[in-house]
Amino acid sequence: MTENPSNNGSVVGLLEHLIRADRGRMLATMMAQFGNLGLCEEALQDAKAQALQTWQQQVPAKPATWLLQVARRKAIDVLRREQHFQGISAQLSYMAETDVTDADLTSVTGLDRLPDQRLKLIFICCHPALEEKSRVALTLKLIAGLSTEEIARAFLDKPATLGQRLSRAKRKVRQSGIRYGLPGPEDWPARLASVLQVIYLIFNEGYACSSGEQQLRMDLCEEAIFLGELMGQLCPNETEVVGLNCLMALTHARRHSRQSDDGVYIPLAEQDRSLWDRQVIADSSYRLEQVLALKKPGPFQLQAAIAALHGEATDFESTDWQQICVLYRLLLSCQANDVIRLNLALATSWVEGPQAGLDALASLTYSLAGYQPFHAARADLLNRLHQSDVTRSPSLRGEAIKAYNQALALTQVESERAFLTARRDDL
Amino acid sequence: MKFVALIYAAPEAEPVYGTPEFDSLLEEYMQLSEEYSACGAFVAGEGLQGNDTATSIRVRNGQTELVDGPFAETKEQLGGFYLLECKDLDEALRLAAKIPSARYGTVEVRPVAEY
Repeated sequence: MTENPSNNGSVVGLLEHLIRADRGRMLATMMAQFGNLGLCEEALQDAKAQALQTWQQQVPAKPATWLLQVARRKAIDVLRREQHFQGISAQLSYMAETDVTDADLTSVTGLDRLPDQRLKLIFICCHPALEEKSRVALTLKLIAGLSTEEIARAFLDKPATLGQRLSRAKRKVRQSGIRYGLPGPEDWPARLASVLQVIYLIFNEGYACSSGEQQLRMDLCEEAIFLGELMGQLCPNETEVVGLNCLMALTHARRHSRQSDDGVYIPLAEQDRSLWDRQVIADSSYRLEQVLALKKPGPFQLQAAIAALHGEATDFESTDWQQICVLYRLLLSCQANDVIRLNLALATSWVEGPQAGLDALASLTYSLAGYQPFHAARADLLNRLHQSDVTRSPSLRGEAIKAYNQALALTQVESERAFLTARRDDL
Repeated sequence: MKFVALIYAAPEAEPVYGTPEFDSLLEEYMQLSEEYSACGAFVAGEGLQGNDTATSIRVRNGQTELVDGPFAETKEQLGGFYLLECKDLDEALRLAAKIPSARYGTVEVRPVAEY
């Protein structure tokens, strides 16, 4: 037996820690037996509620086992009460008598010998039939073990609103014919792509700091990296999983240089590269090279390759922009989208000059009109053109100021506002 | 489990009856129904007459009220359906994506409730 907690707070803390450290294993183990997301989650909630009461006196030696065992009994009770489950009562009695086995426990105590259970759960959470935001929320809740309040805070939602979203998503999972199982070969590529997309969305939400509390957002990056590595363990042969993990690691390695001490955004060209985590960059680049050699490329591997080129450059000037342009073109050939075209335009401007970049941006004016980075990029290109313009044409300066103002109107993030304002006022 | 695929499209987006385009659409639908049968998914499937043939019924306080028209006047109309036997939503969605009208209309997929 472990220590007797002296107050309610320590039991609450212990439970929270357990749930976080568990990362969906208990739920996945329950799902393997019962296959009903709502039932399993409620049973685990009930088990937690019971733990809050009984653990005051004494915390069991194996708290996770205890929770799983109690949750399993609760689920069986619910099924027994439901009349239309009469036919399987014999099976239920058998299940009620079986204790949580060692095989179940490996999934709760460390070594994962039952990884597939969690993979199925991840595939459910990220099913493309669910709204994108619901996929993100479900994954953070059921796999990452974040509380509804934490997820709501990260996405600036009211906990009640997010709670409703989660219930709606769980109801849809239960009723819409989403199977608790691994997708078949025909559905695998699209379903895997959706999982990776969700993980990358979580990472970007943490990275972009689009508003809200910064610390929590950095935690989201770590969470996404954890989820990516978990996917890597569960699907070791998927090159795009490795691509995503390298992309996130390479991006995360530069996190300390992206903002000044007083909270101003620092563009890549001016970042202090001594703050970059060289070890992570070297490791990820090596990992990426190995996976690229398998010649099963995809969007995440290509984006990671671009991030690796940035990471490997000792200074901004020595960046291999030609190669980056090639990679962006390859990326466009597998997923045509205007944000990639914007990045290609910027990369082009470092090879062929700011005017070439502006020319490439022209065709995106309409589609990216409401996209802040488009206006920030345009402002920067106009600024560079203005700096190199010996005649110091006032119209160029005016256009740049206008573009900075358009970018400013589209961002609420303080660090970006400070940066854009400073650039505009320097003109 | 059974899924219904409800096929919605705006009539003006569809090929006109009697044109070669209409014939090839019909041909495509017939092939699709055969494909569904061949893989064991086909339970039922029909095309419907236009919205202007619809009569809607409400019974209120024991009185039957008839309305000349569809349940709701919308640009996209329910034009037909398939009832498919599939192992899960993934399979239902994959099969429903083959419905020709999905290219210019919308196909809504829903599991059939089991009581």
